[in-house]
Amino acid sequence: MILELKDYVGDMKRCARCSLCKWPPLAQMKSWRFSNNCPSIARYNFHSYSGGGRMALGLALAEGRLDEITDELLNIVYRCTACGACDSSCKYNAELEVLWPIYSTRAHLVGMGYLLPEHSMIIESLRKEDNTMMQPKADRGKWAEGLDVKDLSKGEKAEVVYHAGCLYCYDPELSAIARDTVTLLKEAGVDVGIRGSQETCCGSIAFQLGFQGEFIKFAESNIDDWNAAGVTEVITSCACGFGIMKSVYPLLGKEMKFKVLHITQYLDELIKQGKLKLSRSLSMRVTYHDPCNLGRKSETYVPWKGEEKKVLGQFILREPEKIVHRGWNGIYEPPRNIIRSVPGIHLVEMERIMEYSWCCGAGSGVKQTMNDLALWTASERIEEAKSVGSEAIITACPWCERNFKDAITEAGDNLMVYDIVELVRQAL
Amino acid sequence: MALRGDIYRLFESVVGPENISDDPAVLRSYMYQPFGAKEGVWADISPAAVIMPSSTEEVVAIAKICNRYGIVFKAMSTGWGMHNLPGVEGAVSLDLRRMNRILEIDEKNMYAVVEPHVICMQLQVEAMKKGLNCHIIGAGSNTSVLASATSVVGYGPDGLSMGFSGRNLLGVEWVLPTGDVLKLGSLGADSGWFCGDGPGPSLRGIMRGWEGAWGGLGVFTKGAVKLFHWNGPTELEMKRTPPNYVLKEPLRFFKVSLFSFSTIEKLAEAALKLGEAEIGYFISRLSPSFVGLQLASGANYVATWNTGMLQQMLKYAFLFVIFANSEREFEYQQKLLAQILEETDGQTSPISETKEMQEQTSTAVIKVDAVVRSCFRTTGGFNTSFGSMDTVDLAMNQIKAGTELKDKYINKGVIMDDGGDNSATLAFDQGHLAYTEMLIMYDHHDRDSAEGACQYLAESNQACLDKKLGPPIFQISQIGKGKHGAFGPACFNYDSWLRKIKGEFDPNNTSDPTAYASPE
Amino acid sequence: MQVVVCIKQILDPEMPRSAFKIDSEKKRVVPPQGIPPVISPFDENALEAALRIKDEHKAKVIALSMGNRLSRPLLTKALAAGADELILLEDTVFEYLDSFASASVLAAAIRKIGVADIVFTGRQAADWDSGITGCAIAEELGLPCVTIARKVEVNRGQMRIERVIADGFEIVQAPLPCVITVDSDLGGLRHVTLQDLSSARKKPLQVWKAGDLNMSPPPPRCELLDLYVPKRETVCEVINGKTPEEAAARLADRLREEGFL
Repeated sequence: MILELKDYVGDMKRCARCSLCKWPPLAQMKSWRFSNNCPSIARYNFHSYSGGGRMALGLALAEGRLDEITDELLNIVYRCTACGACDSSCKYNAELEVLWPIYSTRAHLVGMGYLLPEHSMIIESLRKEDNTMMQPKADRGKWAEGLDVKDLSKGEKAEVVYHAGCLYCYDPELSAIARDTVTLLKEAGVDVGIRGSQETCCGSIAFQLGFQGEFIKFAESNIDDWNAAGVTEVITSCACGFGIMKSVYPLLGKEMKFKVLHITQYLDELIKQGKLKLSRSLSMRVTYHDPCNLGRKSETYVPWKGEEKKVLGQFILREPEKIVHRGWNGIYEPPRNIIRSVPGIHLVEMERIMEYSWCCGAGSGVKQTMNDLALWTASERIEEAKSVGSEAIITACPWCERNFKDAITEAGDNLMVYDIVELVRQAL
Repeated sequence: MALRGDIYRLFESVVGPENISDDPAVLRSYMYQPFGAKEGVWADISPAAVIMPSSTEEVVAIAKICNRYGIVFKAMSTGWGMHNLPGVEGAVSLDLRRMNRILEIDEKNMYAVVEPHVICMQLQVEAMKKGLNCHIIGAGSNTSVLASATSVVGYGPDGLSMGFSGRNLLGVEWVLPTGDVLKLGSLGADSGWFCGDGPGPSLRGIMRGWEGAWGGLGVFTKGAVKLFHWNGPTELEMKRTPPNYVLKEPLRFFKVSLFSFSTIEKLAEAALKLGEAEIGYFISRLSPSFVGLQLASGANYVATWNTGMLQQMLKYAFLFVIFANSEREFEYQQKLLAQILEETDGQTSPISETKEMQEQTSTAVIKVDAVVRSCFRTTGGFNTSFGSMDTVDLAMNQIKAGTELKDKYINKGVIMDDGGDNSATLAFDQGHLAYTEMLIMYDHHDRDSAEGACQYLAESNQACLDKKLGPPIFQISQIGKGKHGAFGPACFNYDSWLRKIKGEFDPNNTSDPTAYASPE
Repeated sequence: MQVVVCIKQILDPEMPRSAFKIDSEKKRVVPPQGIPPVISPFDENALEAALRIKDEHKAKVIALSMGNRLSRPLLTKALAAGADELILLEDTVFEYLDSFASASVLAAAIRKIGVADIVFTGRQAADWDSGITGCAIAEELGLPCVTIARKVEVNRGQMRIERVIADGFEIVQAPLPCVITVDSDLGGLRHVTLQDLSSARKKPLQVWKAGDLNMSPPPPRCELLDLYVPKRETVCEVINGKTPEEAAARLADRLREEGFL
């Protein structure tokens, strides 16, 4: 199994409680206003709601120090978008795993049967309907109705499969972007197919909520299906899907005969090769929001397995040396390259970007089950976008886009939100 | 020990239900405190509740409830270290996280007014936008500006040019243990924040004295701190260079140099002379171990250490940073430095000019952002021992005594072999004073190591008495009860003064005395 | 009318095979992290049976579960589905009991409840599949027992039960009170909404320890000698033929040879 709390006891015991997990990497802090990196501690304030606080509770659970699993414990564990900002900030100095102990704490509680009812409903929907949206499986392919594209589930063959993901399939407002994506790829001459109603969830939410049994089922079946379809590349425009396929799928030990690419990587290449020409000028000052799962969380995770040796008296040396995932190798440049290649557009950066980007607030089931936290988190990002004089916020994940749009509607704001694919379509 | 329901509801009526908790999970997370001298990471005593006030008025209301019902309280800012937790059963923790505003940056008079949870890095980035900079303590920029100014020590190696927290403190708003509000300095005379010592009452000595009351004398809710001229850009751009972020562009008139000396006496002499010359931005005695850990991964560090290169190169070394305002001043400072080095046989270390050293160190010096890398990453457990804010000579004697004692424990294998002399820091307060603290690293989850570290600390405390090295800065308060009593008789019975102050200011002993002193 | 349903918390029988681990020394299954326990599926059928009786006759339904460290979020699903009360028999001594000891604890609890016109259980629990507990409860309480029910009705003080048999079903009648074990043919548990789950938190939940029942579970009557995961060996053999017909004929021969046909 991938998530075992005991595997992280060493990290949890060595948290220095220095609170670095509560800020962007200190050297990257740029203002008081945007000096938080973790939505959860910023919103709820108790130390418990930080990366370090959650490590302490994970350790207490692993050591059997919590006699009672209270509702508040579940709040602490789940009122968190698992965005991984705490993890990047800790890696900067202490080099501890923070995010995976959080996942593992969730898996531990799930194993004991401590779940939030809202999460049970999502998992039930996954089990019965193969999606997290509580929608019928039969409707999954509807987004592509009338679209001239190969359907691999009907035995057709294609070089590349486009994985739309649950939100694009079922959100009527957003599914146009999935259609646009397929159209774009086809226009650029890509031999692309979809899996229609046979496409299933990537399992990301199940994994992040700690339901790893459910995750493994979906991940394995997706890998099998894509292997069987004989595709060389799996492209998705959902950052959450991309993140999990890239960072966690390889841990299952199954051969993946395909490459996983996010649409921004693909489009960036197509533009560089001249297969897509962005000629229409869009005169706009925009900023780009790095989705956590496309950025810091997309590095393939290599769990440390080895021996802790004492050298120089008490120096704890990990052998083999631990790979430190700083989040520096996320997909940061391709989306920026695309935006910059749109004529007339002016890209300005927000304060918190790349591996220390502020989360949109939707991740890890928070959007579906704790919308107030999701919207508040988004509103903080919207303020940040406005603070750099941006007219629009561009992102590359449907969850970010949905959440930003909802927050803007709620606040009656006029900031525009675009997916990068929408931007490219407009600029063609 | 749980809080009575009716008292809990009184606190709740002050801060609102979302800002108070006695849930076991919340309390348990607050009990995780690895930074203290003991085995393991869990505090023995749980707070009865954690309360998060958002204003002075709320702190006052909480203190009054505590006095009425005999509840002990203890406030924390960022909460790093065992001393932040109450040391008695049934006490409430005041987490001041919601009091996090920078209320004012007065550019003309060069000060900032902050609440307790403003961390040094927040203040620095805002100050730099106005061409100003703030002093950052050696523990790092992740710590509270106000806490080190009002309550705990407050030294930092940029103190060569930017004083130290205790001195930089100007006007203060102080909620006394009784819940009364006292305004110190010019603030007490309704004259703004600009001065700590008048017009209006100056109680700097009572409020914090030498090293602070460690949260044992009420809560400091607002304070003004002095800011200093910053000659760099208003925003520092960083780039990624493993293992850390470093300045994208070198700063003008900024130079990092690493020097070593043949003996510790020579090093002390150089420090004194540099102090007298009043040059430099930052000075820090850097141990081979500290530097090595800043730059390397665990395995690389061990490999380098085993070659003996670091130890040889950095035996008696210090880091000196010049940050001048003009070309001429830059040259002047360099010339003076060269002269002092010549007089004291100081050698420029071979790694001083390397790109890594220049890049990593420049950033670490300005941002003080990578302390955890050197202090906690290796073993998890960390503490400091011999130390003072006194003369350069005393600092050197402490280093010698510390190295000697540490060697004994290193040979036993119970603390990390960092070469023994792992002491931080040097001249501060424009060179007039010297600071030191002797670091130890140990594994607090390893019984032998934890016990060894505790024995070492006890023995080092005794050595301070026996060898007349002064009370060790952090140890008196971290360990808690009784330590002032142990050092008092050797130091003009200062502890009886602490007890009297405590009795006068806190007749009900409501503000947790554990890290400070009890009236009796 | 008062109906008691016994529901058992078990490890998810549909967990991925890679997650199933055994501690052969302790002879126990290791609960996997990240896979929530479930209510044994046949017990969900039993709960549905009870709720159908409630729908018809305004009966009070009490759900009863036994074990140690029981999952409230899981078992309150019974309340969300429509049970009126949940009683958890929770004690360290209630862990790892055999079917007979379980039945004796459950029977003691039912006696403590007082009135139980019908006791429903699943036909067997989906972890050990023994199928004993329901009958043993009846034995303990001295009540008639009807097993493997696919339909239940209360008619003028009598139970009318359709009971699954190998080639169909038979109809039996039983007096009240009685114990009935329920089959999946009865139908799945009704859909539970999020609102049901949150309102379930307001329904009564009691926890009884061994002391509350004035008993300690009897010693086991079954001894577990060994627990292991059977080794599965797969050999793939390709049967060829010049024509599909010939290949099919050879395949049939081969299967017969192996005794599969």
